[in-house]
Amino acid sequence: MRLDRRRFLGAAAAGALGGAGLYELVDRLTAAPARPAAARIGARPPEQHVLDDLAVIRQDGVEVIVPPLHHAVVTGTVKAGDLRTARRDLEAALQELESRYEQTPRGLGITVAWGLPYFRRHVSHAADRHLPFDRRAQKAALLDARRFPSDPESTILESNDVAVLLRSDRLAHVQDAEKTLFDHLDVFERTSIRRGFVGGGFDGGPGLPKQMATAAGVSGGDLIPDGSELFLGFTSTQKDGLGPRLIANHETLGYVDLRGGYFHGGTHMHLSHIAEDLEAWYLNFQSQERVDTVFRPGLHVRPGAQTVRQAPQDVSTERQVARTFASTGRFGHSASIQPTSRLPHDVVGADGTVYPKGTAVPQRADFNTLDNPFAWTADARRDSFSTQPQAGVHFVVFNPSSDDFHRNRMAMDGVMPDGTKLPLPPNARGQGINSILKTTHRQNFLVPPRRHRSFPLAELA
Amino acid sequence: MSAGDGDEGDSRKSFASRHTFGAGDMSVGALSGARHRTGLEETRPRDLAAPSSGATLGAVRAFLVAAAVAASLVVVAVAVPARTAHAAARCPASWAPGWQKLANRIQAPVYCPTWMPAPLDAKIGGPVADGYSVKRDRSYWVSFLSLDTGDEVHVNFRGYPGRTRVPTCVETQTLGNRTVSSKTPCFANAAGTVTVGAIHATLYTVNQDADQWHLLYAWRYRGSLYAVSEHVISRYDTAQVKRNLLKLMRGLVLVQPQKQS
Repeated sequence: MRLDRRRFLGAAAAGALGGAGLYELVDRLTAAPARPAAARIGARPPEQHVLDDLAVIRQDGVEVIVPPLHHAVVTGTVKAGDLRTARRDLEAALQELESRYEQTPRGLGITVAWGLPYFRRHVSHAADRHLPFDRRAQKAALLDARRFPSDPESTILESNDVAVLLRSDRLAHVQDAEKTLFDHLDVFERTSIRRGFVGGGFDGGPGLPKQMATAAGVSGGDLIPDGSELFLGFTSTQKDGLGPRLIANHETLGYVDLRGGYFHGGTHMHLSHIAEDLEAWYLNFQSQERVDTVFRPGLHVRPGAQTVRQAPQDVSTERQVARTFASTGRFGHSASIQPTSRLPHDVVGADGTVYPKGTAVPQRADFNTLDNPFAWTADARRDSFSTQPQAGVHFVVFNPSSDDFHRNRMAMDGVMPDGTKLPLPPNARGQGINSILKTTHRQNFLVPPRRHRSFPLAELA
Repeated sequence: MSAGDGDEGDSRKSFASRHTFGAGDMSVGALSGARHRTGLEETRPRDLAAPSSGATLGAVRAFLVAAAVAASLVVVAVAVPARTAHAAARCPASWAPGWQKLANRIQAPVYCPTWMPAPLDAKIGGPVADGYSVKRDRSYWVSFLSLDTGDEVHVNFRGYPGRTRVPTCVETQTLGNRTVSSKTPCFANAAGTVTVGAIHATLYTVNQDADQWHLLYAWRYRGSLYAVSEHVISRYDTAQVKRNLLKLMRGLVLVQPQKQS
């Protein structure tokens, strides 16, 4: 489908508070993915961040999870003066949504996450007593966001009170939730709306990211390989690359001291926006160099392969990463992160589940976007807002703690967990995929368990 | 050095600073496929470094253009359309002498465009002529560049008489304290083919030297390889460059060499 560019930009501009704008095109370009029959209606997990009944397909012999098609994140500040009333109203609204939708991609995934500004401004005394503590890092489990070595000075470290992540195969469900929580309810002041999509390329053809980028007139969009799950061409939701169901919970791996247990079943969420330079990626890096820098140098894959196995037996160690860097001048995006993102040995979780060595810990929920950098912002100047579509990703990831995410992100920049630094400048060609990414915004959030998702600790304040 | 004896002066090509890799991280040498090379060979950072100083750029460009003009002398254009569908097409009169001279010099057909993306023309030795070289193996590079509108508009024409293999370039990469050179295809990442009249071309998206950050179409004709590329830059994004190149290829006419007396 070709969309007139003027109409596309018009849709982008109109997409702000009023609706999904250009993302309505997603449903005209692809159908909702096939899903297994719902088996869990009414049985909601204690965790907010867990989505069940995800479909799993095989690509190039690798199991791939099919994520929800539509995504949105709405950030805000607390407007309400009386937190207890606000808590009651928000919980009622969330339960109303839950009565309409199951917590699956077919229905609606709602994750309400809270930032440090909320805990500091509104419930500081209770937060001092109850916020989880990261034993391994000897720091709070929820930290202020920081800039990493490859972040530009312009990266904005945000200070939102709340972020609501909405995921569904049905755009109407996401829109309904936005209206219910932010229009009909008077407890939040919106600071940004971030929208996007993921997948839609598993059934052959050009694939959703390519069609969306091309329709938006993003330079390089027409060079995205057909069938890609994401703008950058490789499948990122393979099952082995994503943490299993409860591994990112605060309590599972024992990294976090839950103190009184208020946040048992909760997790940590990092939210960032990353602009992607498709031109630089597709005009500068040959296929093998893309594989080298996305996965690990020297990895041989079938020409044109988009799904590259990253099973536990494929995981790189710190030593291997350092050795490869010494001989090739590259370390590979996935390989460098794996020493921190994969379990170094078998771990028995808090509930008795055995997680084998090489299991991924982070649960990613990132999605492609044409926001620049957001679909809407309350502070267009600060955020350098533009209606001109731009390829990017709203990166959403669940880890047990801020420090766990920070370790992974530092490793991506060549700083290994044992302190070893692989001296590769952030913009060096050897960085490959990392060199064409530019993070514009970051913030860390805490995701309480479902029972405390509405204004956590307000009842104790 | 006589005109045209040297290798391509690609190293002085200016790119927009769209994306900058670490300084000295990687350099790309001139084409290594040539049998002979001269001292003009340079390496340049593969990154999209800031343009060379205007004085240097201007001096080199002036030299190359002057050399091309001097070599042109008086020629008679014998432009032959690339295909019967465009039997009426002719290499534009003001452009034809330069292309005819080139065909004569390499004693092989060359492709003359009848359309160029604004604001370029294809007059060898003209105001936007930016580079011209013929190697001893008769391969040629003709470049047209404009920076006048603030955006670089850059088109390269290449020909490799008597061979059809993609030429090899040399990459020089700095790894820690070491400098490592390796060979790489000058045109890589084939991304589909297109047929335009008699031309059946392959699109390459990752290209080296003066074709870096260009989209490039290459095709074979009677045992020789030809290529045309255009720089992708804000004014001309990838989709527009593809359209430009297809339009340009539709208008190509063959210029046959004249027998030398």
